[in-house]
Amino acid sequence: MSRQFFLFCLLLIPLASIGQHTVSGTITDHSNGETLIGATILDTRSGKGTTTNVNGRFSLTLKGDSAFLRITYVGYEPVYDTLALTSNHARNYSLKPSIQLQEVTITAQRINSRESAQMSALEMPVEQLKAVPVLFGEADILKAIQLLPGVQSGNEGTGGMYVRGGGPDENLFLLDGIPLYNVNHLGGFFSAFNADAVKNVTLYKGSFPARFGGRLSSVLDVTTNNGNDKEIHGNASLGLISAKLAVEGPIVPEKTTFSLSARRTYADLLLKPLVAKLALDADGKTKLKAGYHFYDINAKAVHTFSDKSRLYATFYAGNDDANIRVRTESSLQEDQYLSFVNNWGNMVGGLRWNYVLGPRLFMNLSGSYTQYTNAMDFGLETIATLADGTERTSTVNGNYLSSIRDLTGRIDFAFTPNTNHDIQFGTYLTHHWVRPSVASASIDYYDQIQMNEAWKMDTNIQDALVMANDWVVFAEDDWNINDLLKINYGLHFSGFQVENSFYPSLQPRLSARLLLGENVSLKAGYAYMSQYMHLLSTTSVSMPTDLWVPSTDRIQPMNAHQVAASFCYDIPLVAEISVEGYYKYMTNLIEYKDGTTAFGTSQGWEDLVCMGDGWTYGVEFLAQRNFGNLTGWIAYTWSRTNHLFNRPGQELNHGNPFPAKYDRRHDLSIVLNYKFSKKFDVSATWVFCTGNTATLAMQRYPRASDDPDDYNNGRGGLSHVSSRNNYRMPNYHRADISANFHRTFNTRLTLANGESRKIRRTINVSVYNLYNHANPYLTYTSSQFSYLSYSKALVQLSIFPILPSVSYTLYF
Amino acid sequence: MKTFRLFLAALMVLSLSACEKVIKVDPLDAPSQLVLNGIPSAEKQCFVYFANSHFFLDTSNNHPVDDVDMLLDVNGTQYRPTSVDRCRYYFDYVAQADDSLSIRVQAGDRLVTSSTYVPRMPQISNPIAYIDSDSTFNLMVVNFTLTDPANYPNYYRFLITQRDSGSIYIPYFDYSDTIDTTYNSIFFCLDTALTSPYAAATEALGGYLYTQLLTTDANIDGTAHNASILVILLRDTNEIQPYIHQYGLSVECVTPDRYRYLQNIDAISSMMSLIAEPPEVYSNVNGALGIFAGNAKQTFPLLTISDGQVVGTPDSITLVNDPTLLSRYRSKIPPKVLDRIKERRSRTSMPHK
Repeated sequence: MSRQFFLFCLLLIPLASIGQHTVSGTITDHSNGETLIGATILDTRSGKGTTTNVNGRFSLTLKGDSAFLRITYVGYEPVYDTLALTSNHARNYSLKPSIQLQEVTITAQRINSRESAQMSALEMPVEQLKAVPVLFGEADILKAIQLLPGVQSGNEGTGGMYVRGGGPDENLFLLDGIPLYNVNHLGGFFSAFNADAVKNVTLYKGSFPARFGGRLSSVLDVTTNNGNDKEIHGNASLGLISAKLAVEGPIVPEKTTFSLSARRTYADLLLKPLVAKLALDADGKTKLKAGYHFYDINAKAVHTFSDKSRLYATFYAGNDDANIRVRTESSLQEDQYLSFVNNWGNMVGGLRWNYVLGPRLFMNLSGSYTQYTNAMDFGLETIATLADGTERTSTVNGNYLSSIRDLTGRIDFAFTPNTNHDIQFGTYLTHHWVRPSVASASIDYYDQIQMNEAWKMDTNIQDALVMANDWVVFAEDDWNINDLLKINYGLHFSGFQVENSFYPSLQPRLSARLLLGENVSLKAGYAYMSQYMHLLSTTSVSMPTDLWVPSTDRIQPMNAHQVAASFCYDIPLVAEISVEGYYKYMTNLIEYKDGTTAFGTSQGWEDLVCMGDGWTYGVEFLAQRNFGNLTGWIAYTWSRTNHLFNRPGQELNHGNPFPAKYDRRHDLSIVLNYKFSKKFDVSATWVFCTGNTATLAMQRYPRASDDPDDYNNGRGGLSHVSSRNNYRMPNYHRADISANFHRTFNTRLTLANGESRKIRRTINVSVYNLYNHANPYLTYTSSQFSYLSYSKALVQLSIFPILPSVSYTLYF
Repeated sequence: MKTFRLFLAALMVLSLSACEKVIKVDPLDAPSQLVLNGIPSAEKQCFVYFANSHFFLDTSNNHPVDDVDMLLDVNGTQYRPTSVDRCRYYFDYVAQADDSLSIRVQAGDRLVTSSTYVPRMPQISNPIAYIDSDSTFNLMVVNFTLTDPANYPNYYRFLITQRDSGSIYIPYFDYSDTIDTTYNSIFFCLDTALTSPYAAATEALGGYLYTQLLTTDANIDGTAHNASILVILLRDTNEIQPYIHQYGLSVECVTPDRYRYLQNIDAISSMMSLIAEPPEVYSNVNGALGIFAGNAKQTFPLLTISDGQVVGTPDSITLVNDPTLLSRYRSKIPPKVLDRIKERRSRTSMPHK
């Protein structure tokens, strides 16, 4: 197979013509040495150009005697270079950040969505994403991403990202190329991506490049900071509920750098004593102890052996801890305590060696490890006072653990034979260890009636450890056919081996761009995707207790075909506008059977689910402006998503189509950021979306009885559901606003090397849900009883009213 | 620091405080459905409940259907309802074992049909109930012989019921915050031959509690099987007036359709997760919701307790007092129930008094 693969790669690689020379190198930020992803290198004489890859590297092969290069990146001053093309050139360029703030200036444009052959991809400047006001003023990349077209969030206060009709498990979250299985803190209020650690974010919603696979709906590729190679910088931030610290700098100047960021919520530390004090009962004992916190740490180190060789080390650890201990019952003889602890988090580590094999060929060799663990402990402790005054404690404890671990080895290459081709190919193998659940229980129960040890038990119940292998080979080419037509085509082959089954999947990918003029382009694309890992969750709520399970002999992989077409128009000096339509057909989707969930257990989960198909289509509109003092975007999506479960024995909704839980007709986001001066800027967002669907039993009728008198009272009746997801919750809308006040102090920070620099601070004041709109979190039926009447009402529960917040950040 | 803490606490309370709002739902979005419920029981007069379903926020009962033409066919003989009372259509027909029934209802332009048969009576003999009780609990172990006819498809439903003749405190009638929550426990000591996953305690209407065991004759076909059932009842501490508890055992032979219907309802009742999709209730009626299924039932009153005292010993079952019952069957009783007994014993007075 590998031989065939290499033959295939050779077929893809057109031979370089004689008379061509290659310019290659790295483009960095002059101020900190950070590599710039997506910077443009253009030979203005030939009109040929390219962009830097995720490592900041480029390779441009040109014909002719000389080249006049213009190197540009948004927010940076352009750099020009003239080269005599008598040989290959290794050139590194450093761009200086633009200092012009008051004028509307286009200092540079990335190869934007209009010019790229890649479609359904969104690359937003991180600074713009960070400026979006969010809950408690905590900048959150993922929450900002959810304001882009085609991307939906779950309910307010729940996690989950839904892209083009896909479920929350159909998104691949990559942190420096390593998958993260759970990206939610605090049930989705915050994401695992600490904005201070992030350098670049790219979202693919369709027409996926062949190097990506394993999920049906999206890839969110997050790259973290390499670290400043010149001097130590950092910032410390204090918000209402969390504190953050980020430091980066050289370990060996211009050789080895590090970047470290950490954050922790501390509301528990402040509130715990308060809760304990408020929750005292009559005899002075504490009735309630509760706490919650999360932390995450991002660390990265980069060592440059030479211009050709770099080693990247990435580490991430994030953990949530929720605990509660309640005094449930009290009598003269005993105290009883009920406790619950839930602890969940990811740990990720990876090493990547980037080596330049030649001016046109780069290589990445990497190994990575990722794990997600969710642990729960339940306890019931009874402290009894015996007749002789001694205390005897009875305990009932339960523990639950679910985990998934992946170990991946990968090698990939980037090859630029000439200006018209940009080829990437490689292979990787992932070994999965999946332990859906391990449950254990121990009982040590003391019986006061019989005065003996009545119950003692210690048991352990666990699912079998499922091991699976996922092998992938891919190759793709970004091919400039002519000045107008460019395509990105590739093949992604994956084979998933689990239990007694092997699931192969050959996935073609194609994306094409046709320039219709200087500012207008048309694009079209197709992608086929397969997914082997499934998240057992209710479709409406994303929780840490959701279980990751692999495809099995009985549960086949999910697949999706997606086609899309778009129109892009760049209005000079105003904005970039795109309209994109898509259609996606999905097979082997999984849904719970009616009346079942695998909440907290995966025992026999294959019997609880059924498989079916689905389709989704929609139109997305995006007007984006990322230059000048006014930046932001307007995003609108019209979409429809239906599911059909009609396979024999696996019917849902009588085998008829029904709208998916996340089917929303309208989604509108307006995000604006205005920089008034160096000292003051303001951001505002407004979102509107159609309410989520829900299944509501809207008819009632009595249960059958052989006694006529049993029909006299209607309260013991049965519910009738006309169809799945037959009810739509009220529409959601909300406005947020935030203001940043920047100041540079005269106080100077003196560094160890004798240099000094000024300290800056930013105060952020933000208001979430500005006009205090009660948005639906969930709905339920409420009953009111009295002697004379009995009534019912459908009640909506909202959780976030208007919420002001403030944070203080110090930059040094 | 204190001010900051208070500010933070206020903010957390504000952020986490739930806001409730009543949503209007248009009943026209959910048109009513026809409902046909009929359980023709052996040796009883047959009736059928036929009505419209009602909007889920509507608390009234019995929504009649206009222009109804109903016809019951029993072994080829046709019957029409002789009287109608609050959507109950009565026939001048007493069901007999092995009768074959079909029903046809024309309601305007809508047609409803279904069919069933009447099973044979369950054969129960030698019932003996052993009783142990004090002021906090009643424990019964009921033994009997079940004779299953060979080569006859029997689906059994064992039912322990607690029916109260007087008022009873039910938690959702908020009479008083000081009253302790009712905790009654009725359950089966499962016989392995009758093992079935469908045993659950369910609170029904107006203080009517039952526990049912649904099972088949798969393990006992054609045999005389000695069955044993354990029932523990916590003495209700929430009585607002002296009244009478009546406990009974009924054994039913049901049709396969009724068996599936009861399984289905039981699964819905015992559904642990509120976030699961609501399942649809099984129906064997074409054109309407509900069930049309024959039934044959034997009922045995077990015990009658009035104001804390056993006042009745029915003739149909032998009652034996056995003060060692609790200690002998302790391992079969959940710790929580034992906790409750202990807690009740520690009280000097009932909380409502």
